[in-house]
Formats: sequence, C-alpha cells, structure tokens
Amino acid sequence: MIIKNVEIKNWGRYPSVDIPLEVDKGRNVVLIRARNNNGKTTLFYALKWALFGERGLAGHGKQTEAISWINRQAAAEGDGEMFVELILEIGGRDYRLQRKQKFYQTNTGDDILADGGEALEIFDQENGETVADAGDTPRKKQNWIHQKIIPERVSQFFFFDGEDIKRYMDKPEGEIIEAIVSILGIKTLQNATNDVKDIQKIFTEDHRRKVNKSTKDEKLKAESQANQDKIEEKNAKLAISIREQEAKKERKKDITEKLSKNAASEEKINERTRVQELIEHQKKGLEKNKTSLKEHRGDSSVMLLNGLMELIDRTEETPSSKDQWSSKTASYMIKKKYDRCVCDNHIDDKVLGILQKKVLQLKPTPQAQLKRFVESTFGRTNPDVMLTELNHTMNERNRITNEMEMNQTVVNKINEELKGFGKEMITILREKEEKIEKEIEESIKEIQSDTEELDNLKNEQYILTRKLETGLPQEEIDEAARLKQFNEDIRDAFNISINNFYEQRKPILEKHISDIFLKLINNPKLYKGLEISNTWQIFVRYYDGKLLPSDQYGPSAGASQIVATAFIAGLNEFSSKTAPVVIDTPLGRLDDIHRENILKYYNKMSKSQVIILYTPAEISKDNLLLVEDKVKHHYEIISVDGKPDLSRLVNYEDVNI
Amino acid sequence: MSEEIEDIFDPKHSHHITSAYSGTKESIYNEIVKEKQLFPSMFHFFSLGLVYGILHNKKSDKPKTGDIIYLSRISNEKIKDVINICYMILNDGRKQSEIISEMMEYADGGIEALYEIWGKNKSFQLPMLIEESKSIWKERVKELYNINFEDN
Repeated sequence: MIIKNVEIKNWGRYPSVDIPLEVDKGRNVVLIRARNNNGKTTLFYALKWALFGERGLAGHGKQTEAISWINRQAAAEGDGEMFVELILEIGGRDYRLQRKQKFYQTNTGDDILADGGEALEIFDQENGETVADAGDTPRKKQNWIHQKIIPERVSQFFFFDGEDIKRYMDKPEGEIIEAIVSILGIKTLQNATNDVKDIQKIFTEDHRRKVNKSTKDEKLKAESQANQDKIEEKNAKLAISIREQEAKKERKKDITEKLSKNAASEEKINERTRVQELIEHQKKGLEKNKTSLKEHRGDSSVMLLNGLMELIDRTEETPSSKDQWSSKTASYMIKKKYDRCVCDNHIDDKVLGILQKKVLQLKPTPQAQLKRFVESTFGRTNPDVMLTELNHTMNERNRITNEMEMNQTVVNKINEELKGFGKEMITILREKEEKIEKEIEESIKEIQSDTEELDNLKNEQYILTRKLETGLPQEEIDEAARLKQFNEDIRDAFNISINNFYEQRKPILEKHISDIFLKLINNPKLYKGLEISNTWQIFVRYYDGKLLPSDQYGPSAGASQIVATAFIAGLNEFSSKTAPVVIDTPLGRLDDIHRENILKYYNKMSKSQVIILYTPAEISKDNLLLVEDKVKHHYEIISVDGKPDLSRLVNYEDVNI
Repeated sequence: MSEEIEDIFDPKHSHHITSAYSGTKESIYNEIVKEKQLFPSMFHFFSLGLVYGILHNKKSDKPKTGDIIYLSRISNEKIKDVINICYMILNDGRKQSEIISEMMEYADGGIEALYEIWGKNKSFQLPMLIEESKSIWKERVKELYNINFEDN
C-alpha cells in the first residue's frame, strides 16, 4: 500500500494543505522537515486519524479526541468541517479514503463542539463510487481498513515516534505481543485453529442431539450426559493445570538462568573478595604512609631552609682562619714568654712588637656565630636525606592510591557484572528452584492422573455413545466420525504451522534483526546479535556469549533506539502486510555515527514507502546526501506569513537554497 | 647550642608564638594541623610558614590573636634549629621581642601564601617549593643579616 496524496482541511495548524506523497520503487522516501511546534506531529496524527479514527490518536497522550484537533482559525469563524483525505494505492488500485468531522460554534461563541460523529467514506478512484465491499456502517468500513490496509494494533510498527520506540525493548506487554503475533501472521493461524475447534464443538453437539433424539433409553441418556459433564469439568481443570504448569516452567527457567549466571559469578565473587582484601591491606598501608608523611612534612621547614644553610656554610669566617691561627699562636707565645721563635730567632722587643700586632680581638661575631650554628645544625640533621625520604613517601602514597583506584575499578566492574547476585542470592535461588521443581513434579503427576481419568471418561463416553447410536442410521454415524476426523486433521495442520514458525521461521527472523542491528550499531564487534524469547522479549547477545534482556541493556538511549529499530525493521520485513512506514522524530536520541547508519537504512524500513518527519537538528545538510538518491519528495513545513500558529507545506528547495 | 648565642628558648623570656590564623575552629592552623592532620603539631606548621615567609619576603601584620606555643615549650631540636637560624638572620641588634614579633609576621605571611597553594592544589607541593627555594635563597640572602659575603 502507498499513500499517494494527503489532503487536510482545518486540522490542527493546517487550515488547508494538499501534499503529493506518491513514490516509486527506486525512490520510496518522503522527507518532511519542520522546526519544533511547526506541525510535524500534527501531520503524523492527521494520517493516523484518517486511517483509524480516534483510536489512532490514543498515542498522543493529550489530544486524544478528534475535536481537540480542530483548526483554531476555522473554529473562530464558526461552524465548519475538518477532514483528512488520503489517496491510497492498494494492490494496484486507487482508493480515496476520507474521514471528516463537522463542528459548530456554541451560542455563546466560546466553545466548539462536534456536530455528530466522525464520518468515514471510502471511494474507488476509478469510478468515483463508494467501495461496496467496505460495507455501509462505520464499523464495517473500519474493518475494511484493518483488512485491506493495516490493523490498528499493528500500526504501531508502521507509524511510530523514533523517540518512543524504546518501549518495544522493554518486556512486551499483552498489547504489543498481540501486535507482533498479528504482524507475523501467527494470529491468523491461531484464530483459525480456534475456529476449527468451535466448528468441531458444533458438529459434536449436533451429533449428540441426533443421537439423543434417536434413543428412548432415558437412563442411558442421563448417564451419557453426566459423563459428558464430567469430561467438560475435567477438561476445564486440565486446561487450568496445564496453564499453571507452563507458568511454573517459565518461572523455573528464569530461576535456572539466573542460577547459571550466579554459578559463573561465583568465580567473580571470589576474585572480588581477593581484590577487596588487597584494598583493605592497601588502606592500612596508606594509613601508615599518612603518618609517615605527616612526620616528613613536619621537617619541611628544615628542608626549605636548606638552601640558605648551604649558602651560609660556604661563607668564610671573619677574620680568616689563618689570621685567627696566627693570633692564637702569637698570644700563646707572649703569654708563655717564649724567648725563641720556632724559626730559632731570638724574640727581642722588635719581634715581640710584631707578635703583639698579630694578636686579634677574637670575640665571636654574629656572622661567625651563625656560620658555626649552621655547621652544628648540619652535624645534627641532613636536609638532603630528609627531602629524599619525603619524595619517597609521597611517591609511595601515589603508588598506593593508584593501585587502590585500579583495584576499586576492578571491584566496581565485577559489581556491575554481578548486579543483584551474590552467594546469598544463590542459596535463595537454589531453594526456589527446588521448591518449584517439586511443584512441577506434583503438577505433572496431577495432570497425568487427570489425563488418565479423562481418557477413561472419554472411553466410557465412547461406549455410551455407541450404545446410544444404535438407533441412528449407520451413514450418519460414519458421517459424524468422518467430520470429526476432518476437523482434527485441520487443527493438526494449523498447529504444525504454528510450531513450524517457532522452530523454523523465528530463528530466521532473529538472524534478520541481528543482521540489521549489527549494520546499525557503531561497534558491531561487541555483539553477536539479537535473540527473541518465546514471549517476544528481545535479548542482546554479546561477543563473549553474555546474554542480556534488552530492558537491561542500555549503554545509551540511542543504543536502545537502535535495538528497537532493528526489531521493527525485521518485523516489517517479515510482515504479511505491505504498508508505508511513517516516522516522527526519527533520529532524536542518536549520536552522529548512529544517525548516519540509521538514516542510510530507513528507506529499507518499508517495502513500499517511508515518510520521515524530522527536525533540522536531526538531519544535517551533509547527512541529507546519504539519502538523497532515495528521496522522491522533500517538503518543509513553515508558518503561514503573519500567522505563526498556522502552517503550510512548501518544497524544501524553495526555502533552503 | 653554643653558649655565646642568645637563648631565645629560655623560659625566662616567655616568648609566646601567636598567629592571626590560629585560635578558632575555622582557622587555618586548626584545619591543616588538627582536622587534616598534615603536620605533627602547630609549631611544625609555624616553622614552615616562617621559613616560607622569610624566603619570599612575605609578612602579615594582621593582629595575632591566636595561640600557638611558648617558644620555651618547643621540644623538637630540628625545629628549634630552624627558628634559631631565622632569628639570627633577622637579628639586626633589636630587642629579642621585636625580632620574634617580626618572625611571627613572616610566619603569618608564609601561612597565607601556603594556604593559597593548598587551596589551589589540595597539596603544598613541598618537593617543588623546596627545589625552587635554592635559587630564591641566592637572591634573598643579600637582604638578610649576619651572613658574611666578603670572602664568599
């Protein structure tokens, strides 16, 4: 199906707009650019309303009634009509689908109310007449849309908000599962199976009536009826028991999966314990280092003064040491009254005068005092050694701190991997597993016993029926048996088809969505792909085999959008329906690389047509080059001149050259 | 210590070391020494401030209202040596109390500068300060007393 044209009147920001959307196989993309609040989402919901009425507006959250979309300007002018009209090509034939809503202004003029309900018309474009097989009631026409175009519940995979699709990654709820089963055609098979079952019931009931009519043995009839009641009662009980057993098996599977993860985690837990002990040891080392560093810091004034002390130490004494020695020697010789000098000359008055001149006043000067004090300080302390020790202690602190940080990173990483798991959890899970295993065993026994009872009852019923059938002609008995067998054969065929899907087609679907995911994600080496559980939950399989449910996988909102996009693209590829894909805000959460990947892929999202409603921030002019060869139309939504609350569409080139 | 040197640590002088940055819970001394325990005692941090203040010629004349210690009660010989040397290089013949008062101004000036370094780096960068000090002393020494340069 292709939307060839949309015409809108008095809807939201659009007083009147006509948009050709026809595409061809080579160019199947329509781009519509708009700044925020300019009418992008309004157009998105106009298309949904045209196809599904108010049910199509449910996703908006605020404006879920058609009346809330009436154009304000039109409303101000009084009574009028709002409509959205689509020209659709379905199976090579063109149809015109028009949904409209009349409205009127209240007497006071301050309110606008709906004038009657929505009106839906479907015309054959070739002859202009209403389509006869669409029926004449709104319900029938809507059914025609569901069958010919797309069911409303399935439309969520064709009309979607790029920023909202992450919800498909969460554990799918009933509504989404129904939609998935529908889109893949399984629902049709399931419905057919149930229909055949119902037909069989009718045949059986009819045959029973005939048998009852043909016999006059009231006692036998009563016995047969009682037996039949017991069979139905037992059947109902068995159905409940089987459902409960299935639920228990699912629970056990969950627990076993968690346990297997835990078993693998035990090693990691031990590793974490070892690293944590190391950290504790390092903490003690750091505490010792802190004390040592405090002591060294306490000596820092000595180290800081060392430069000055070295300078003082290098100064000479005044007077010089040679003069001081001469003075001391002369003083000693005079004091001891030497008469001969060491050179053996006689010390006469003249020599004595020379000696007396050598004697100096040797009272220590402040300079000498300082120098001597510094010398004695160097005798007591060695600032260079102190500095070496300080440096060593500081380096040691840095080393311990770095190692602790690294070890803490290891612990954090293990914690992240072990999230929610621990030895206590293993014990709890094992207990739960044992309990549920016992419950399953008991339920198996119960079901076996009930099944045996049911078989007995059925055998009895068979015998009773044979007895009752004695009054019926043999042809009728044979016919009933033949119909029963025929029904059973059809049911078996449907069941085989459904099983075939799960066994054969689902792995193909998984491979398909995995391939898309790996194409779209920017680091494909990190992943093996995506997997789908029987309850349609998506799992992300990492390169190392680790499997995470997609609701727990989430390196970023963008990555989640990639998974969801791959899933939707895969479903659409497998869908028995061919419908356009309309995406609002397609790239909002994505980074640059993912934007490019996904933009290049979007044209493959639908076999027929892709309409992308984007903001300027999402697709740059450079990125447009990535898709330009697939684009058939490119529009821009702009405000009407002088009326900022109204919008119109122009060709992109007209306003962006 | 040589008996020829004036003994400023003699209890008879009762020299009292005070600071503008001690004495309250919010003070720098309290934060660095008591709370963060980065120095063994207040006088260790005082001596570092004193040397840093003299080295960079930084003084603070803010009122010194907070107690640190009586000089006579400093038991650590290394710190006593540092204080003694600082006293000698500032000793231009004034009264002891005047020189000690100037020492406290230098110490507070040094503490201010060191606290600024701490605030920026959460570290005093001691190895770097010590390394840099050698070249700074070469210039600074010319302005100090009682150092003989004549035959240097």
